[in-house]
Amino acid sequence: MNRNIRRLLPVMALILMVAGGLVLMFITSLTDPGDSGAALTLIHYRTLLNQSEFWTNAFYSLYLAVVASLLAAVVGTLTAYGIATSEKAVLRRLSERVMQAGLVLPYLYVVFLAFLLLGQAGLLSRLALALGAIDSPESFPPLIFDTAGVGMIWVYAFKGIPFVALMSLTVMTRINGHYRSVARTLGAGRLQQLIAIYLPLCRRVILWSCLVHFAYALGSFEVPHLMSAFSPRPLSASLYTLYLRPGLSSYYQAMAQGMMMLVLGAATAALYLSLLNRLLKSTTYFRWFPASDKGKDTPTGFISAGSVGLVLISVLWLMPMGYVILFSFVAAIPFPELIPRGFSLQFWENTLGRNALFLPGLYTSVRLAFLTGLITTLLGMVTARSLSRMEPSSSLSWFALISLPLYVPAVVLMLSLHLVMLRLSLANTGAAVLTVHVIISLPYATAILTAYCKGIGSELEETAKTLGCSTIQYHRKVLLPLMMPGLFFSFCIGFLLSFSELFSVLLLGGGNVLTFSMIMYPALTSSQWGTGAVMGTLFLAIHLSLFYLADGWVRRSSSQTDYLF
Amino acid sequence: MLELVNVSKKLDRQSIIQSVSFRTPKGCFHTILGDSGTGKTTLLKLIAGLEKPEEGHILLEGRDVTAVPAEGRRIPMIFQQPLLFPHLTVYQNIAFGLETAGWNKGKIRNQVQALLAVLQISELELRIPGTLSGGQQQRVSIARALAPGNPLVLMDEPFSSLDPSLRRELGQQVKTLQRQMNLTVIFVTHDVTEALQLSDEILLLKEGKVLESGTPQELYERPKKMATARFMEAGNLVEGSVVKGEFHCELGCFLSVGIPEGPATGLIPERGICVTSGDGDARIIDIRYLGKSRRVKVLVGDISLWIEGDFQCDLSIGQTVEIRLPEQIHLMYS
Ligand SMILES: Nc1ncnc2c1ncn2[C@@H]1O[C@H](COP(=O)(O)OP(=O)(O)OP(=O)(O)O)[C@@H](O)[C@H]1O
Ligand SMILES: [Mg+2]
Repeated sequence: MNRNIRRLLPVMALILMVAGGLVLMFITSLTDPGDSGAALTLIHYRTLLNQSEFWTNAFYSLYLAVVASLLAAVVGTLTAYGIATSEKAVLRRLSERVMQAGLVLPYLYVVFLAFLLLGQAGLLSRLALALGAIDSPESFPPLIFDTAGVGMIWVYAFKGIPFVALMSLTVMTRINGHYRSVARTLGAGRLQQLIAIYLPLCRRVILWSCLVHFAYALGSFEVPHLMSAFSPRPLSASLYTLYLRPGLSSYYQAMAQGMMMLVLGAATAALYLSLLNRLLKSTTYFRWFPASDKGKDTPTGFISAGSVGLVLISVLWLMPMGYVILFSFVAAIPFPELIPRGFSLQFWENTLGRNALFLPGLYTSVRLAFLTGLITTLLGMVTARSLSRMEPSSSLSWFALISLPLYVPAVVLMLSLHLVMLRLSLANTGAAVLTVHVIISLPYATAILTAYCKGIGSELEETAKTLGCSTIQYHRKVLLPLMMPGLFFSFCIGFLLSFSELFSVLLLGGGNVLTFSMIMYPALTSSQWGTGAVMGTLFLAIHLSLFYLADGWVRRSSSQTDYLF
Repeated sequence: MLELVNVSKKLDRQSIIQSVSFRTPKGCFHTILGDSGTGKTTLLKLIAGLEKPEEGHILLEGRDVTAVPAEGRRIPMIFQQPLLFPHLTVYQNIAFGLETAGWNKGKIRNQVQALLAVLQISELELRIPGTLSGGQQQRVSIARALAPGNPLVLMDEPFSSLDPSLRRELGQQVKTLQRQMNLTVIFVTHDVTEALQLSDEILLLKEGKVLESGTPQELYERPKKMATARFMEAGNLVEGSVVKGEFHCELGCFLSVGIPEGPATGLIPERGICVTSGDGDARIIDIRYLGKSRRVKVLVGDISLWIEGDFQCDLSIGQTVEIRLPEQIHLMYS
């Protein structure tokens, strides 16, 4: 077997596990519980599809995912374009940092932000009251357990916009800036430059990140579970309830519902992405946008719309994070006041000192995250060595396959992996949780490391060989030092993803694995805002410091990187 | 057509362009000539509106456009690299400026096809830039710049990445097109020969300042400054002084016109010297074979002179020859 293909075996084994889980789920959904299990039946689907509640929930789920993903696509690409083309270096750095923060923060943390910000006793409601826009907290529109799902969409957008923005930014920063100059001298305005040049050149990365974000918004567990009303309830939230409900029939129902989520999600994504693809490819509609302020003089000191946008984005992301930090240090800030009544460390003392679960939880999390980062990086490196030697188009196809776990709605992915782990007698163990965390972080690690390997190229190895360097020496003396920042970056991604995970730990750990997220979770469900703020601030500190450390190293290192897209 | 008045530009707090003024009449092929790093590209970007000057004014047909951004000026610029949009076909690339100007489809088609024909690339219409050769790409980029029909076009060393024969060919084509379409072209190059062949007028730029400007003949044959003569490689420079209307130097006396008394430098063109074999006071110290002609270096006293010609007689290094210098030579202040 070809060496390149052999290197892909470990990652393919994991992908096979995901595919196998989905097949298991499919088979189970067709199993007749009354029979000995041999006959196939469509009864579970029929029952499910005859429930009007299912359809309500399905459409609600799809609505949330499409709106969130569209928001992420539009605002994310605009932000990336703003960052890539802004002439103000400070603003560029700031907004990129802010987007990175949005990217690495756990969903659980963002859910918490939503409560503090959008809840009826939240910051917005207080501000509205103070400004006299409303006269009682009850008249503040419910943004969290509402039917329009504003709160949930806000959470998905808060994470999705940075995701799409940073993914497209990796491509946009490599687009020759002179293309814009040419376009300008031919009369193209800023929006036209975006539509005619930047969007078509970033098409693939935008589509990929939108798909991943769409799948997440469709299949997230913690967001709808904590933030939705009972009706309509997103499928992902009802799926877990159904799965846990005693009785065989609801178990089979859950399998059928999981499959339906996959099918409906795939159909919607196909439709939505093909429309998006058309839009990104076509440049004809750029005539709708203003060509230029033809001949109009721009006054000096004119603030461009791009700068305003970047400032706005930075404020919108920084404000809630700042509010959480503030909240963790206040003595009291009773509703509807805006100014805290003094500061105190009471929440910190309560959380850190009196919570017996806190330290063990942190320890478990760190250990799990460390192992995830390590294994992900090792496997990612093996995979990247292989991908980097392929033609760009075939390495992209392989990458598309390796990212399979990211296209499956998270709850469906976890349930199907749970089925696999049950078969392997690994369910409810740390090993199962670890495997799943490696599966979901491997695509990112592969992308980063492939970029590094491609940047280093094969000429260096050939040069080293002509200088009498053996393969082992080459790896030790040349490749490893050059890859170091990339390896560390990929380790951090694995670490942080694992550290953020909630649902996989809940389901696959079966209560035997108690992590940091698992301890934060009850604080949210029981409205202990102070504890939540402390844990949230810790989350923020751990995630940001680790990420910025890794990112700083990557930037400082002189190694070249080439990108996958 | 175009006028720059005391334009200055700083980049990274460094003065790149210092108080540059010039005027380009309509239909003129105006070349900006200068060494690498003297700010030629920056000057073109200022004209296009891609950079804003700190001081000075830029006037386009009498209108002050200093504050108008590039997309408002719409002065097409051809860069050193073709910079064709990689995702668009040749046709779409050329149509780009017409789309932004809101032309209708039929008009765009006619215009693009006319240009494809003029630049002899009709068969490339549907190709993607990645599959074209360097010369073909640069042709497309010229077509793209000419398509909107703007009377002023900027070119920044458009042929410098091409091989010499293609470079001459494309240069001639551009020159022909410029005449036919009565275009005003601001052309940047660091190649003296190219500048002399193509230009109606040349502006010599040095370290961000205008060194001298004039027609190719003026700059080559009658430069006002020594630095210009050096840059243009116009001939041999000899130092001496003007006394009573005559220029005296080691090589003898020459008539001098219009230069006041005092130290001066004379310019003796390489082709202006006659060589005859036979015992003379010049000794050959170097010979270069150029194909159509030869260049020889002779030593006269302490002065060495380069002479170019298609000498019929046999010449060899070490041989002494007789040389005859022109009676009148061009003089510059020292
Ligand atoms: N963005 C910039 N920031 C700082 N300095 C710059 C920038 N762009 C150019 N320069 C400097 O300005 C000077 C002039 O640059 P410019 O590109 O205009 O030269 P040029 O005459 O076109 O040279 P070449 O013939 O090599 O293209 C150079 O010294 C260059 O280093
Ligand atoms: Mg230049």
